[in-house]
Amino acid sequence: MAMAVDNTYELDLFGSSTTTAFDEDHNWKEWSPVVDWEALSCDQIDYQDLIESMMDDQGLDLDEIANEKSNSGSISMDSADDTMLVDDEAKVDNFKGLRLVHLLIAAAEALTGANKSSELARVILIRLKELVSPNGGTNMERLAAYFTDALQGLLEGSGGRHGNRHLITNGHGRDNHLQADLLAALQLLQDMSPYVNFGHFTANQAILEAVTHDRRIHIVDYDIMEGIQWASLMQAMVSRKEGPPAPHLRITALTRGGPGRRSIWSVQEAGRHLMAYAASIGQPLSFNQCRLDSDETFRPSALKLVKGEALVINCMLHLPHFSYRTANSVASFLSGAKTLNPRLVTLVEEEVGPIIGRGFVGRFMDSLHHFSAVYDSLEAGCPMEGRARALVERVFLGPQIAGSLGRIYRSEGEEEGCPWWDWIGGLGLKPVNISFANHCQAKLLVGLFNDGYRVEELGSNRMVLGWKSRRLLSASIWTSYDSEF
Amino acid sequence: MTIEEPESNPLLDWLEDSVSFLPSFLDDPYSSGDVWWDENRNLGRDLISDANAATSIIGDADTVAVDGVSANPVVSDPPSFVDASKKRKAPEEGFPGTSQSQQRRKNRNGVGENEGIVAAAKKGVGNRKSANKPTGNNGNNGYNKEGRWAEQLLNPCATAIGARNLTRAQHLLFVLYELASPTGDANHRLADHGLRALNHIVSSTTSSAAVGPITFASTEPKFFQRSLLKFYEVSPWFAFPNKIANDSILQILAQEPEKTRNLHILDIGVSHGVQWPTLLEALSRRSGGPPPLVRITVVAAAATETDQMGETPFSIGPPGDSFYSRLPSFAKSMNINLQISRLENQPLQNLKAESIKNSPEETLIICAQFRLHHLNHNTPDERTQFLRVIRSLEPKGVILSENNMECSRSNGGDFTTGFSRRVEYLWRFLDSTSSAFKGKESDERRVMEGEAAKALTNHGEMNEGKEKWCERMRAVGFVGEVFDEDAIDGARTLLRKYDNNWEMSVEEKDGCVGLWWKGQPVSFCSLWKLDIKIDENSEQL
Repeated sequence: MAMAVDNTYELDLFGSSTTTAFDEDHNWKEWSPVVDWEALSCDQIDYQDLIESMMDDQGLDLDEIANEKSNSGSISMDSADDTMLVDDEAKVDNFKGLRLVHLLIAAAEALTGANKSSELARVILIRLKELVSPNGGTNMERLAAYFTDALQGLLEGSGGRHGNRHLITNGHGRDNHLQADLLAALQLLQDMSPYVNFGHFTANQAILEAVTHDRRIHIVDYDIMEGIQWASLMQAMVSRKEGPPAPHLRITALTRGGPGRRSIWSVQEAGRHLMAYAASIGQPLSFNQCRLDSDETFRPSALKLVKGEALVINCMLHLPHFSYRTANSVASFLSGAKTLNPRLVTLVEEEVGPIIGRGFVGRFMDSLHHFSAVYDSLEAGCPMEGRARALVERVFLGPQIAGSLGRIYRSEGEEEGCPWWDWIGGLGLKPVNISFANHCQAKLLVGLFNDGYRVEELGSNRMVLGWKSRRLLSASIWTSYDSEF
Repeated sequence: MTIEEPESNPLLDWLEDSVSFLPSFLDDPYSSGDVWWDENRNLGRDLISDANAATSIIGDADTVAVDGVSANPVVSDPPSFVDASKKRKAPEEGFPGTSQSQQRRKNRNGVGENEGIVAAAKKGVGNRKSANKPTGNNGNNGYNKEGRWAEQLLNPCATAIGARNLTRAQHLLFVLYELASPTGDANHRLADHGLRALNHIVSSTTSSAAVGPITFASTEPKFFQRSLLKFYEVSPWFAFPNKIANDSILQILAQEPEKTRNLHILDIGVSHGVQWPTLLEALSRRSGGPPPLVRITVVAAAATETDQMGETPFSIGPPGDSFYSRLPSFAKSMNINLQISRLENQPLQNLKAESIKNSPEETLIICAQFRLHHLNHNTPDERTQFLRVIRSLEPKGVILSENNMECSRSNGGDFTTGFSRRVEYLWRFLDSTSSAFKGKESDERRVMEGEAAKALTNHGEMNEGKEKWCERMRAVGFVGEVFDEDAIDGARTLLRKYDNNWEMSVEEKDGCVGLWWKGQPVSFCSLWKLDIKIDENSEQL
């Protein structure tokens, strides 16, 4: 290990031997026996607990402190110490994870607020870089590597827009990755976790249920990406046993009007793939594009509508493999779509933690919490596939972390905290109940993966996919019709 | 004594005779001395082995040093310098020394022009008629808080501990634990000492004391002396006040009508005798010869067996330190009749006038340096009590040198404020010592720093501002005495030997001489005589 840690003195603050009152005015006896060390001796540390307890000033997780205490006692950072048992290694890893979390949070604290100190942030980041690696080590080490890199960008004032001097993300957002890498990573992400399919399946099931009797269906897709969602929808449509033959499907993919040349190319590419696939299974399909304005706002008049088509609005936001869209753009799309009286609106978005208005550090911790859950779930999903995960992390998660931290830093944590499903209710769209079948499908999907995943129904029209205690993705369905179809 | 001579020459000559290791030490002062000094191995924290890490830390040190130089307003902010010079009315007076000092600096260690210019400025600064502060670099530019990251963790941590915010305190301790290092730049070291102190404060004393940093008391006597001498050579932290003390003793003697009276010095200090050879040498060269008898009564600091960390910094030497006992033979070689007596285990608060065996036939001079702050500053006010005892001895002169920093106003009851001031004191020490040792690691450096770090856990209120001390002195019946030209010039010359960030000031108001580091006060020296006018009333005080 790069830096030896002095283990001759422990963090004695919480030691059981806390008996000294150093001054009449500061009687520590009153304070310290809160913790009964003997009673607390489990071995696992959950960083999320730590982050949660830190987000809540009053909260104090005794387990975690007991663990820190016991681990700090047994830890040896000496690389010569090869005789360490596997069990101890796990402890060391856990303990190191805790150290990284503390350092990351301290670096975030040093970047903002009353005690802002770029010198302190710089020193902490130097230390972090000694401890982390994006390619090897534990989950937490790799996650911390991306966070460190993102924080370094903030420190240097480039906030996610930096040049090529960085450890990992290198300023190559997804645009700079090879197309092959992107597709491979997407495939891996789909295989390793339910993140991609949860949104697609839930939305598609709701669409199928909403347009059962329609002959012509028009789907307006806010961000089509590689188009894989529609492959599975068409598959489902042609394989329906009962009812009329497959209806005619028209898909309009929105494209960015700005300099995003690659985006157009990609949408065209997705369209070609979909057309070919539709032809191969006998699904009637037409594919259109509709440009967003140069500021990425949506103009309903730009959309070509045909009478008699059931209109479906599909909006997938900020999933692990999606690129970022500004709040203005999303708002213009959803509110514009509302004016078109859609049969169905499907909305899948990232679930933001409940902490709002806590400034940069609060949002930072939420972000750390979120991504550590994602990393944790990916690792649990395929513990042996380190290189595959590293690719997914490099292609999708790293840039997402950098972008996310950059945004909350620039907005000083004051970015809109309202989730879209909450906002959309204010537009006058009405909730559509999630069907039993849809719910079962989600449970089935999640059942294919690690049992740390869970699906919650929140309200009648919203389902949330979570990893352990952390909610990650939210899918909700809406309509502009007065009564359900 | 000629001013241009390095102060320590006679001492080093003498030591070379008696201490066999010294020549080799002088040849290779930075060798880590692993042959005989093994204690540090047991500290358990190895040097950073990773080359990158080491480089980055060394890089830090360089950056800090560069910042320190460039941040000096004399260089970076010419208007303030010009302005300051004008205020002193005699800028030219400062300049003749420029080329000379520049030349000397180049000869000494090959430093460039910038330092020469700063040295010239320092001369201007030290001008006798100067105002109470050195150049205007006590602003932000001269002493950049931003770079002091360790304090930005230590102080919030102390606040969290004070507020019993366990989660917060624990978080900051974790971070400190990661960044603290006994090697590296001053910030890493400060974090290391601060972390130890916070642990010490909140946990059981015995466990922490066992793994405390290296201190004087834990060293081997020869190494201890070597460390002290090395420190005197590279830093004016003590050399400067000692020099002023010695020169003011000569000043007082010169003012005495009878040249043949015996001299009696009451030594309440932290120099462990190292300051006296220079004085003895000066006495031997005095016109009319040395006093017939020179007595030094050493008031040794009382060691506390249970809590070493609670002691006054720099006050307790190792057992077996024989420096004082060897002074008489050194004096003899200069034809001075020297008697040393020690008052052992006499806590200052219990010191009685009767314990000091002084006779009316001798000139008694009391030399109190960096020890009195160990006394309570109120409830009870041991400081004033002690000064009364001193007053009752009717000395011909009293030299008082102390750390010059405001203490917390709230009776020391506010743990957080008190801690942050201690941390600030230690920062000045570590920052200046880092420059003194040019960022190099050595055991001498480590032991001095370990000793200074006692400030964080010391029981007394470490510091009190100069004004407050002067107030106390006047209240018990002393009157301030101005240092004479020789003392001031000697001090100024001495200071030129050291880093450019050191400055001195001469207060017109009270005659005190201040020592400053990067525009911040470090210590002050003051000279006092009995106030005859209020002699009769003094009992009522």
